[in-house]
Amino acid sequence: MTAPVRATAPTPAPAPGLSAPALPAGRDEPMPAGRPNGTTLLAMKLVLAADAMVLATLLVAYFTIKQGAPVWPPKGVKVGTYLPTIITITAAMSAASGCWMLFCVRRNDQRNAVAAAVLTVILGTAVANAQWYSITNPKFGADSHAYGSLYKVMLGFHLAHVVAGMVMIVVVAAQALAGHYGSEDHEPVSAVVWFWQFANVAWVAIVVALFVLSPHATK
Amino acid sequence: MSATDTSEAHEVEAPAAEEVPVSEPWSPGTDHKVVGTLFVVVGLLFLVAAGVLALVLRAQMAGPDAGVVGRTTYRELYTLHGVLGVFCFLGPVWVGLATAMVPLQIGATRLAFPRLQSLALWLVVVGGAMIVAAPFMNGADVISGWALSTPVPDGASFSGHGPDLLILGLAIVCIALVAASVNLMVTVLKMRAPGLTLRRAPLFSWSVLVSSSILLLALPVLVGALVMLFVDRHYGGHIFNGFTGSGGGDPLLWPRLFWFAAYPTLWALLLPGLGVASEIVPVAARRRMFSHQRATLAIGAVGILAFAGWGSQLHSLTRARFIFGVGAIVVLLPVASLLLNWLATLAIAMRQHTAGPKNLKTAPMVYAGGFIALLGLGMVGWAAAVVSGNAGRSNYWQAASQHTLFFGAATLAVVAALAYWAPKLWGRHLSDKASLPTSVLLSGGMVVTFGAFFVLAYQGLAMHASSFSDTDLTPANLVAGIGSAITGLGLLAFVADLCVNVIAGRGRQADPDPWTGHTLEWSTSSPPPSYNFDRLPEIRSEAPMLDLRSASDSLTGPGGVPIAATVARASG
Repeated sequence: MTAPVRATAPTPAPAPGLSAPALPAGRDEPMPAGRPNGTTLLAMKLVLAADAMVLATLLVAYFTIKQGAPVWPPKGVKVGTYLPTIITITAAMSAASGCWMLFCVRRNDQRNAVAAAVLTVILGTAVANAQWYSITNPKFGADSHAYGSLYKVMLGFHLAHVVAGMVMIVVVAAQALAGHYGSEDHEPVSAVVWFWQFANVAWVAIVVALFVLSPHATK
Repeated sequence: MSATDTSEAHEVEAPAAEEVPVSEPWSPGTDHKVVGTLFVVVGLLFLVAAGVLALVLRAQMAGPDAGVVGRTTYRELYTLHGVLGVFCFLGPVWVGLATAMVPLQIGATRLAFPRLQSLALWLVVVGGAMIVAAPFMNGADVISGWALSTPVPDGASFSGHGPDLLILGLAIVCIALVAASVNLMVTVLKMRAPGLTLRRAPLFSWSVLVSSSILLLALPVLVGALVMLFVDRHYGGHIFNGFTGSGGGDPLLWPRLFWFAAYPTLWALLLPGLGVASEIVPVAARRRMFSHQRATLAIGAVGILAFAGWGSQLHSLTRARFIFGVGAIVVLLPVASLLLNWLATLAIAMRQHTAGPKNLKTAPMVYAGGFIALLGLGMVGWAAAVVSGNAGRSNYWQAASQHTLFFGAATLAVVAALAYWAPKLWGRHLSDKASLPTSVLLSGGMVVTFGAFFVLAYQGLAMHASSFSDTDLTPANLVAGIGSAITGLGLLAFVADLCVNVIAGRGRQADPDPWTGHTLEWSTSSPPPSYNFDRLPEIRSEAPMLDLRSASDSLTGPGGVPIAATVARASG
């Protein structure tokens, strides 16, 4: 993989209107071959905007159904707080180590960047493991009641993001090890860290919906 | 060439001066023109499929108690027709045209993420194939209609391999369209040539940016809802099930989520059509748009107001529906402003004799004329449906108004766009002579069909009805059948036009700039090389090619203003 080619800086346009007879004139510099700066990060932000709409859809569905339900969560559902707390703390630590990775790359410190990536992946694995347990362990299933269905969908949404984020972190860490990134040029790393932090923010939203605001009807 | 039989010792001679640059060999993974072309082909194949389905549906409804297809089959075809028409034809075909043309219009050598667009293409193919396969599966029938409404009419079960495939296929197509939209947005936002500000952006590229923004925010809602629907249908969840069981859930939730996503999506699939007409009209008029700025603003306003009226399509709402109805009417205002903008451009061109009948009889302008006519009629019908739809429940108003605007007008715009850019993309003209009869068949057939739909709506035929026995309904249904046959003939004529003139290469060979165009795609060869441009002209307005011509033709400055006047104005 070759390093991305930077776009040539645009030439300052002449004052409009006054030098018209000079037309037609072509731009003599070569056409840019690569992506301009900021393209990858902008694309990731747009993807995250779309992703946020998916999350918002799940939350809207959850709160609409909760609003209409006489008892919420349904009888027999015990909302534990132990696992969500552990996951939240671990996710917060992985958010910090993700930022650490980005700061290291910015400082051109590849060794610590890779160490931070390894730490992030370890913490991410812990999150994914605990999340898998909290999806599969409860007595209720997706077919028990609407709470069960939404519980599994929302936790699954977060789990999918953690797994996808870890894959992307491994890829950029390998590229960082191969010397792809420097203090001037680390957009893919920024994009991946943005994704990782989105997964963490999504988790906070899900925790608030499912565990903090829910047990209002536990009598 | 007779010189080729000389001995091999001779060096290859320099290419002759008149030889046009040819595009490099196919690199299908990365060349946006190839990927865009494939997108268009896939979209048109789905259009033909959805069109054939429509003909079968209309044949069944041509007379009372016709026995062409059974009730279940009718509803399966009806579901497939709707899903394919919106998500597998209109979406991909606009994405394809945008993929092929936007980099050329904004003076870029490539898309921001070429391989992402290729991935989106094949995801559309896979998702589309899953949707097409759904009715053939054993188990439950896919009879929900394109809105996938649950519970399914008649209380039939909606779970099994068929619904699973439909839900997953649709989700895959939506994800592909979102990915392609991200790519197009980033391309327009980041890859424009120096000097090409967003205010100067060609109106098609601008409309693609607006339309992609809508898809970016609307389709993920549908994806999220489809995931929940899949959990319901495949894993026995209770999210949309209703209060009948002990499971909870909300049956009103699905239609709300669906229309929150689908309503803006429909406008997003009309928006590039507004952009296409805004390209073709000023070029045919051989002058600038009456107001480029107002057109830009109007297209942006449609994009914002597209989110305002989704509840107007919901029968479960009562009082709120009035407010949404206002939103669904207000969105027509910027569309009307665009319509007036085009008409003013043409009227001024006629008065100042910049364009004569010869310019207006080119194929793209003829199709654009059909588009403008259908758009005008569709707006009237839309307003009538929003107002009248409040009175009745579950009837043809939606089918009539949505088909006129988002199938009729949008499809004519696709045809106009293909006629306009076929010379650029594939180096061959579509037939000018065939354009008038084809346009009349297409738009005339649609006016007849959907006009009859409005009559059926007034008469109160139910949208899901797979047959009728009331003879009062016979005339309108028969007329709709005849109209759809005429539309089918028009579509056949257009596909034949494409096959003969472009695919078989019988069409007139295209110059680099056959229409005396305004935007950058006309500054390069037809078809363009894989790297698009050797060099770009200076960009000082929204019509750099027009600036070039007016500078060399009559020594006028940008904007067609004589230089003396410009200098005088500049010096105060």
